[in-house]
Amino acid sequence: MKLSEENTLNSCLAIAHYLRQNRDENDKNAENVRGLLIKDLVRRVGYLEPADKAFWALFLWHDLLPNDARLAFANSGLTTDEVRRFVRFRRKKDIGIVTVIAEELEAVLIALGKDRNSLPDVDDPTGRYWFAAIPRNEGRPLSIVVTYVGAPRNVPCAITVSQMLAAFELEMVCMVGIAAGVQAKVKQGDVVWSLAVYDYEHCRLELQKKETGEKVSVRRERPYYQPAARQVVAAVRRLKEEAVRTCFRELALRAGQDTLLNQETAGEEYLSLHDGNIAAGEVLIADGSLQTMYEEVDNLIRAGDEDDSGFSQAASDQEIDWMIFRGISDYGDPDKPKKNEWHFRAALSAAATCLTFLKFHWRPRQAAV
Amino acid sequence: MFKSSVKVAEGIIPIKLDGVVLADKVENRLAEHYGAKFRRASADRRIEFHSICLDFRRAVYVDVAALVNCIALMADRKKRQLNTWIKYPRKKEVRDFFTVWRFPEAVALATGEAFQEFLDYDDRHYLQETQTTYTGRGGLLDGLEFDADWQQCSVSKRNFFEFTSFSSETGEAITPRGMFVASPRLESTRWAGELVKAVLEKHLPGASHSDEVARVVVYEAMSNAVRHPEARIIQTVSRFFPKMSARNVPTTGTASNIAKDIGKVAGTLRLCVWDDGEGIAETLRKPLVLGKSVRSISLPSFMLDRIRISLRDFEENELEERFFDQDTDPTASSPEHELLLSSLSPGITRTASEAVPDVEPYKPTEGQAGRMPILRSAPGMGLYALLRTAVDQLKGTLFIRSGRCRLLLELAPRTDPSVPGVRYTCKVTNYPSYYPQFHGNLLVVQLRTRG
Amino acid sequence: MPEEYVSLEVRLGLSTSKPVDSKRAEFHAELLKLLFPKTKRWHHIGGTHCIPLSHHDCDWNPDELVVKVCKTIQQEKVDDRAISCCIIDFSGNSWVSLREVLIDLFFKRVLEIYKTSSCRHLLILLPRCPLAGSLSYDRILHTQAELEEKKLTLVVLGSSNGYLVVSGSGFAPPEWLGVAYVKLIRDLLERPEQKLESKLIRRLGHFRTIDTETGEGSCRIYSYCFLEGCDHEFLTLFTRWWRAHQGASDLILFDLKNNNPFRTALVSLRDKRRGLKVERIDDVIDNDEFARQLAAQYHKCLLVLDVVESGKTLRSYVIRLQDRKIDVYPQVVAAVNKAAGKDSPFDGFRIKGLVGRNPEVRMAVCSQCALGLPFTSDETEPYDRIRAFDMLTMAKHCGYAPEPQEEVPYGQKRYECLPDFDKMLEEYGDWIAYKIISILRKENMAFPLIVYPGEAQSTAVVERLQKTWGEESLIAVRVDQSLVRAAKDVGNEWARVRENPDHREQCNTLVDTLLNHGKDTSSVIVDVYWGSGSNCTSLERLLDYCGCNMFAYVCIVDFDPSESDLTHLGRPRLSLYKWYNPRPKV
Repeated sequence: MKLSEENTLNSCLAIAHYLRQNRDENDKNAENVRGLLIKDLVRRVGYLEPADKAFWALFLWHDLLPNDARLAFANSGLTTDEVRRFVRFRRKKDIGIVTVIAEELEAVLIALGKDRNSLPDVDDPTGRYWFAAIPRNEGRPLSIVVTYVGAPRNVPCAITVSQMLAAFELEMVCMVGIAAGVQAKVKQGDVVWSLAVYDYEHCRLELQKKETGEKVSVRRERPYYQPAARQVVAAVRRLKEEAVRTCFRELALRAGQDTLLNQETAGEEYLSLHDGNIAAGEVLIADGSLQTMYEEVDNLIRAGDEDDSGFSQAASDQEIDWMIFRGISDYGDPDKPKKNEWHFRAALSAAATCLTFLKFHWRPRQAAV
Repeated sequence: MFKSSVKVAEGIIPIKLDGVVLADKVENRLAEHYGAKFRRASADRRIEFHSICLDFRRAVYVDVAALVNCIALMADRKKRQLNTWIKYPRKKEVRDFFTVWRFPEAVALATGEAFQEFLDYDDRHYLQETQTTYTGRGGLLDGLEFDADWQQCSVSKRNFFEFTSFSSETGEAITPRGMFVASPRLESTRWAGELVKAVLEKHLPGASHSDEVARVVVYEAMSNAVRHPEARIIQTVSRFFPKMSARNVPTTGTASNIAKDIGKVAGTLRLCVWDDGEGIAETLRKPLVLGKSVRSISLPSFMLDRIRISLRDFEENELEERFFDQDTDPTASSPEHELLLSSLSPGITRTASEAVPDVEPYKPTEGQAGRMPILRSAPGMGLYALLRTAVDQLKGTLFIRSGRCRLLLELAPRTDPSVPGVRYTCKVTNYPSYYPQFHGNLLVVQLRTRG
Repeated sequence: MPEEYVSLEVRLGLSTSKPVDSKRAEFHAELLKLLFPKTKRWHHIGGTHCIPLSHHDCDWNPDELVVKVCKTIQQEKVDDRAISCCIIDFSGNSWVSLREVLIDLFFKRVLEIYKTSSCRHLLILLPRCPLAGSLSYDRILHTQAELEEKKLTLVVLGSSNGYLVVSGSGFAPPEWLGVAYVKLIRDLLERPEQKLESKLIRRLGHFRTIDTETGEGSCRIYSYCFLEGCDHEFLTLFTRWWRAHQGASDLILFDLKNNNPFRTALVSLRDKRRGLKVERIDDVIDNDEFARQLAAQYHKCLLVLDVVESGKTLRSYVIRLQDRKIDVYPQVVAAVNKAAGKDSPFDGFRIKGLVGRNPEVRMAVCSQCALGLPFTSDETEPYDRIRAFDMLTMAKHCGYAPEPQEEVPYGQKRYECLPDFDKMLEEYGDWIAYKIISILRKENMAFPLIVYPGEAQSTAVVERLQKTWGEESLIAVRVDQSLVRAAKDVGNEWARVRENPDHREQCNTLVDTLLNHGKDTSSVIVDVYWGSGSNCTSLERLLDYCGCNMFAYVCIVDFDPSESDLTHLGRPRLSLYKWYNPRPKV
């Protein structure tokens, strides 16, 4: 049987705290106690990652210096606090959710039962994080951390995901947001979930090179495809549209957006789920090229945006499973309005899909966090 | 939407559980199904592999014993790799009852499969809905059925009566050793809590009997289950259904029929203990086949009671009436119901013949010579004590379902004109051979409430 | 000539025989005076002894009990003096844990007790008197013929529900026996206040409170929680208060989210008195319609809270209830009053705490916050193990000292500096015991057999466990230091220890106890700390020798933690804290 305990870093911090308190006492007993604490601290540090070890080596050396020597350090501006910034304080959570624009964040917060305007639980230079739990039908609730990129494009998104993975020990990260859809296949308010991410920036270059030569195969595997993990895809496949729709209705009511529901009463089928590849590049698709890409490059493409390549690469780098849920807000037409009334609606659809998935179909590997 | 006719053609046979669903209804609907299957068997051999669907859509009340019956059926079919589907009730109150009693979790634990795998695709969204029927507000019983302040980490249960499962993480058979040795004691301690005692005192006739439910009924029922060989899971569940006041009982229309059915459970506390072990009768028959005895003690006169047996088919037609004396020693050829009845007789136990000496880990040394290993001397009195407390003292009914047999024991009317000395009456339903054996053993104690 | 009597107490869950405590012995003497007012003097013979009854025997060998009782009586009889009366006292056990079959079989063979003791009167004290219709009741009645024939008397007394007398000697109990007996036994039992006190656990951690008025947070290192199973005490104490304040209010509003036992007790009051309404405060505050209905019906409510300290939560409730036209009764009942003692005034209210605790010092600057340690919840323990900060807080508070010489395992070198575990157990023993119990509970270890080395500190841990968990919930077997020492001398071969004439008797008793209690129950070795694991190995080998099923080794601090967390013989080694400091080599 395994007993749960606090993480090694926190225990090291506590021991260091008591070591500091003991530092200025000079009797024999205090010396013995110091020995006890150091012996234990050193052993614990041995389990940490190299960067953390370096910090603790410095800390021990620095903190056990005589007072005047330590003062010299402080005066020089070189203190252990400088180093501490590099130490990673990783906390365990089950799932990380990444959002890019404000509407996406709001939709996710609502889905997690929080106020749409709630302030982050952690707000520091490494990122802004909101915590929540998703009760599940069976087993323990899932612990969730939500982050917000706040800027479009792959690079900021990749940085945010890397920071989140440095700060939290996660089993999976999910991107929940909006995207442009392939009009022939999807409609506004539908949700596309990712089989793979297709980075069209790189792809285009290669396509041009080959234009003179043979025709590009439509479903050819290329290095620019970033496929989602098979077990995650299998789990998402179990999602049922009706369940997602029920969830969406509940969220819309919770969000106080009854008008979203009025649109449904027309009887038209709404919120369908589509699996497919998601095209992602550095350029906003607003020139209708998504349709062309679908027709000429990959007929599995269902949506396109400008963040998912960074997202999936950052997660894959750390060997963390990932999944993307994109609500369709437009079709990537040149004449699409800047502030789209479908943004929130699409984000809420994506959030409802993600929530239903986590609640009913995702099984965490770890027994408890 | 689910089109039954289409799916039947695909091999899913609906078992319609409409209106008030009691254990009888589940059994009867299944019997109809198996009967039909039996008749058609020669024509269509594939029918054995048909999936069935327990269709609760039009259920208005479901009894806990009926749920246990369904679980036993599902676990059995799962074992035989047959598909079982569930259509969820359309009535919110019934769905909330399933949620609050943790029926989905119980199914998952008993079958080893997530509940949604059994649930019809169109109904899975119901699992997400929030229950609103139980608030914990109102009387004592409401507080017991739903603790609004309950937290995941609580030692107590959100609903006192909900399904509780005992099984080992590794799926090993349950034996009265290690962690399971204390299960009966733990479960009976739970029933000795202040709140449940207050409820029992309020509703059971004779306030001072409240302790006896925990001490004897719950303890012995659990203890009996823990001792069944080959059980991998034990589940307990219960429900208090207070008496309906005359004002609430509809007298006309369909509602009155429902009320009549609900009347069968109203004013009762039902306690079910199910295990998926070997059938009681089979266990008892084994030593008898080997020519061993199962009687551990001779009985004093006050324990020698006579039981009037009424043998029935599953349509409740009485076929025969017999008498059974508790000093009758069962034989290898005794019918199943007699073996089941024997298990309730004082001093009947399979361990009488086994006389298992305890592990003798060391050789007796000097001073220990002649020291005999202590024989297990719990001499088959547990179920008898349970019978005395539940039926005699608390005026309740004892119901046992095992193998192809169902027993229902009650106190005989005080003045039985025909035969003197009859203490209990027992309705026995024997199921035909085409009806599959009940998976495990189910013991239900039903206690009548005051008024 | 005084008349002779023997009194025996049967205790479920006791591992070995121990003397009956003097208070109970006095109670037995008083009872005799009550029953036989004509007899001027009674003389108690033999030493009064508790008969240990294991859970295993209660469940599996109920027939053995009478044999044990008779054996003890034989031992008590020093000479052939006639015994007039025999008292067999089961009243110290809970009725629910005494199996019906055990009671039935006891009465089945009750004549053997008369025969062994040659007494005329036999008094059986039970937690409850068997009720008509039950198996044991019938069994008692069926002894009548024989008792009449032999002119003997059997009196069965229930602690709360009357008595049964079957007499063949014309014995007639005094009319007021029932009432007088209940009074007599009530004086014997521990008072509910004390019981409740002992079930309040002070937890260590990093607890955060948000001020409802200013929204500012402050930190505490202590949080209080009650153990499960004290609902009866809450009910008794609250009902007592309620009776004394009849006019309080028929509407009770409570906020007891973190106090399940008190909540259970209150809710169980609901239907007991006509017109009494018991509701959660949140239900009233969040539901205007409901609040309106209540206000129209009651006007005034009694507030019941969990912990009252600064009174700010109380004030906010009062304001919010007054907004909804519900006045608050000027006395407020709290499970724990941390304001100032049990009974204290606050803002025009009197706060009656069922348990009192001293107010806590709030930290202006929280060192745990400065370290960035996460907050811990008031509702649940964050981890199975103790956090480093909490362990070091306890160690600093209790001080460090060299290992007491008597705690140094035989053949091992002494630790120069260790936390002072004696003090730690005294100060924080309740929480430590609670943590150990939580681990065992998590593994479904109910009613375990606890085996522990006879040193003072491990004894203190086990005593704490017994106090916190309840004596009936575990069986503790102490293995004397001299035996462990002898075992180590012969390479932990316990068969050889038993051959040693110096230890034979003691060892036989120990082995018998383990055999008796450890048959089907899982056993756990409990110790204060693991230095080199030598004690553990000796005890493990003992359990193996006795065929006991060992579940794990549990200690507070593991000074030589390893990756595998196993004992030398490969059993799980569970510690509340890992502190790398292996025992110095000899």
